[in-house]
Amino acid sequence: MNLKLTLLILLIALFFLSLSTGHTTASFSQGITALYYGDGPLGTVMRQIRLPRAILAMLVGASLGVCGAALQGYLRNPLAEPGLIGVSGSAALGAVISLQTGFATYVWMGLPIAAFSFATLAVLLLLLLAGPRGSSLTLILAGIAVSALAGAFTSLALNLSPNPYATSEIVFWLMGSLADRSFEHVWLALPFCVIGWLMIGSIGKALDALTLGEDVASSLSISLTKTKLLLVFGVASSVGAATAVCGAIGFVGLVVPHLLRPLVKGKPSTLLLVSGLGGAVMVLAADIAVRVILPDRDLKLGVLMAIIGAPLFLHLIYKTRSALQ
Amino acid sequence: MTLLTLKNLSVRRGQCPVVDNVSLEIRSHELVGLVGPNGAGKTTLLKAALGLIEHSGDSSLAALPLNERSSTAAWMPQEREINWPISVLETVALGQLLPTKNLDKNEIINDALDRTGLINYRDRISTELSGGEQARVLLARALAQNTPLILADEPIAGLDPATQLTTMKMFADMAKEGKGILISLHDLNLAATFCTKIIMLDRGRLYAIGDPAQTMTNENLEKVFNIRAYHARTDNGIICQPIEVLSHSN
Amino acid sequence: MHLFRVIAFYSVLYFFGTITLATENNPKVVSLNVCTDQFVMLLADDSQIISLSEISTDILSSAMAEEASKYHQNNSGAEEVYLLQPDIVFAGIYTAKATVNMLESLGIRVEKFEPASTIEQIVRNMQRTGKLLGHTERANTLVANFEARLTDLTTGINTRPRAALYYANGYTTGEKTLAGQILDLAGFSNIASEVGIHWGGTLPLELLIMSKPDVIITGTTYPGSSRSEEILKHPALKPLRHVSSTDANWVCGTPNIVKAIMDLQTIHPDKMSTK
Repeated sequence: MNLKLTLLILLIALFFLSLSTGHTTASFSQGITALYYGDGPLGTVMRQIRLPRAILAMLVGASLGVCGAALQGYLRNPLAEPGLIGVSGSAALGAVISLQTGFATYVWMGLPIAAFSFATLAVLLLLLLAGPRGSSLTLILAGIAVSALAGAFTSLALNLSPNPYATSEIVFWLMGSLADRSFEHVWLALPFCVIGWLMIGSIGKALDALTLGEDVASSLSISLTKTKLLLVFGVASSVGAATAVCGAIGFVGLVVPHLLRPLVKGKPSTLLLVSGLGGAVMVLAADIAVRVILPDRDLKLGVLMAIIGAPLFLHLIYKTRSALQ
Repeated sequence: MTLLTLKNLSVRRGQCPVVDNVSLEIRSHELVGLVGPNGAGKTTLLKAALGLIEHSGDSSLAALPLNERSSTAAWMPQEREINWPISVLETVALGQLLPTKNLDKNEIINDALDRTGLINYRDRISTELSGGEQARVLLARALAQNTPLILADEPIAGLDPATQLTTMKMFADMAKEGKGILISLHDLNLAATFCTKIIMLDRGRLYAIGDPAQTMTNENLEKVFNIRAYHARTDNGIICQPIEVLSHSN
Repeated sequence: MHLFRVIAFYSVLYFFGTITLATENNPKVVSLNVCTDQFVMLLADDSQIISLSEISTDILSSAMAEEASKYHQNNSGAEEVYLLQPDIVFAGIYTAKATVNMLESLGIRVEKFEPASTIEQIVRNMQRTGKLLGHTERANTLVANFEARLTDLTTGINTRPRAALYYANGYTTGEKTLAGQILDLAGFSNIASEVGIHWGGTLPLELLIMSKPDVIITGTTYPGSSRSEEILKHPALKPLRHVSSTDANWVCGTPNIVKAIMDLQTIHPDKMSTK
């Protein structure tokens, strides 16, 4: 059965399921009708609360999935993913700083721009520390360092805020949540995400060639510099924007490519699109779950992802432990 | 026809010349063996010729724009492990990443698989194969690139005798069909038997160039390798078997 | 003649003496809590107030921020307070236990006040404050004016528009809280009761929209930005009648709540014309 088609169908089904999940009890058909025609409160709920949430879940999930697959392909390391290597954390730092300093308010698209800039720095730093020849160990250590630094500064920035609510916000930034997001957030994230996807999509062939190493890739007419730049900016753009509006959501970029890789026989270029779909599916499903499991509390998405993802991560480390020596 | 020209090619690491002023030509219908002791600069010479590392002097291949390189020369580096779980078919298909113009790429890929005896391995995952099988996969990939020129760095190191012979035979056949092939190797015997031309490298410099009989004399072997060899002529080709290390060092 | 002058002189001296002594007998106080700050400012003599809490001048929390600026401010630490040598310390029951215990063990009298959420509690707090400060009369007058004002404000209400109180993080407060009482006295009915929230709780945005309140009252936002407060700017709230008015007057249970009630009544259909 065609993998892409299956994922697409799953995606559409979950999209509609997401639209019918929420505090308001309304039947599925009532909800969908209100989405298009409703003038009253149900229409507002559907169009202003549920629809942007579902769209954002797909945007974020797709970005994380694609970037995870791209990073794993480029670094030839199955442990690479935006959360683990500190890109999400750095994007969150950029977002927090731009919000607290007012940059986000006074500069058009200030929020995603700041997140993008910090995410770029993180990716560059990581490539410097643990480039394509870096072992898994170096990668993890570099990722821990970058994440820790970003997390610490984010906490500091929030503590220095004149707003008393800011201090407790660290949970949102570190764990991620889609609650009460609006179309405002969709428009902020969408252009950056799409540009990022396009950039990463264009290095599919390069990633395929890189499975045999940099020298062979070069001899196959792949420009390593161009590939690196497109990767850096593509990941920073899409993950940056996604994190800026929803906080850092980890493990999607790790789990989705890992699960889907055997189904595409390991080919990195096919894995990109498939991981994008898979990531969207995963985040949509998780977002539905957090609303169903604990409807009265804002259970952070990151918590659910960690519960699923951390054991898988441990399993991966176990499997690749010989390479870590 | 000349496929690769190197003129005064030099590579320096710090003050040390790793490759020192090498000039040579590779033509079609040639299987050229690049021999020399460890550290003679064989790998460096090949990489510089491909334009993968900084060098002074000229390499016709390195001077080409990036997008023309893949249709001009195929490169098989020393690293022979495939560590990404990609299928054999996809690995070999990488040769046709930039498809050869006017030809059916699937035909080329299948041809390469056939030639290396991997037709039944198409859907196997590369990481699950043995070392020898992986070597064949990488060779098939280079074949699938369908280039007039092939450069390989120790393509038969660590392979069993049968595979070594098969691989060298394949190179020789391809050379007969018109390709120009430059391989570096340590096995002087196989080099003498199969190669149409030998290039002997000594501490970065071109020491000798010519057919095996001319270049692999005991005189040259003593100077460059510090060994003495047993020579013989058979129906299958020349035998040049190293048998003794000489007492004085260079 | 000479004796008369002597007696008159000493009588006058004695008379003024007792007055001074009387005023000097009134206890000196330090307040550690923004609400008790206001109790003290409303009923004490200037000379009685040694120090008020730092928050007393925060316009977002203190209804008497301007008046408070002329008094000394303390950071509610035991060491600082002890050195000020007060007779009584006014604190809330939620003021840091460590500080309160420390002061008591040093021999300082600490009077703890519960935050008021009903009119009766406000009145009781005022009377207790008056007694402690030696100004029972003043307290009674204050209470009487307060009650009269309330009666004024709560008459002539025929309709009760449905209102929602909505704060950061989607928090809402019900009729058993001070804010809920203010809302009720101003003549509105609280949406929170409809969904079973009597004290405080989270009201999901969806439920807020679906209950179609006539008016939404949100808290004033703090400077800087926070995600908790973003929900108050959600586009879904735009079409609803939006009044941002909870401010310092809503925070403490004092007679100042009448200002809050009057503010709210500017949008109440039955009461707005009387302004």
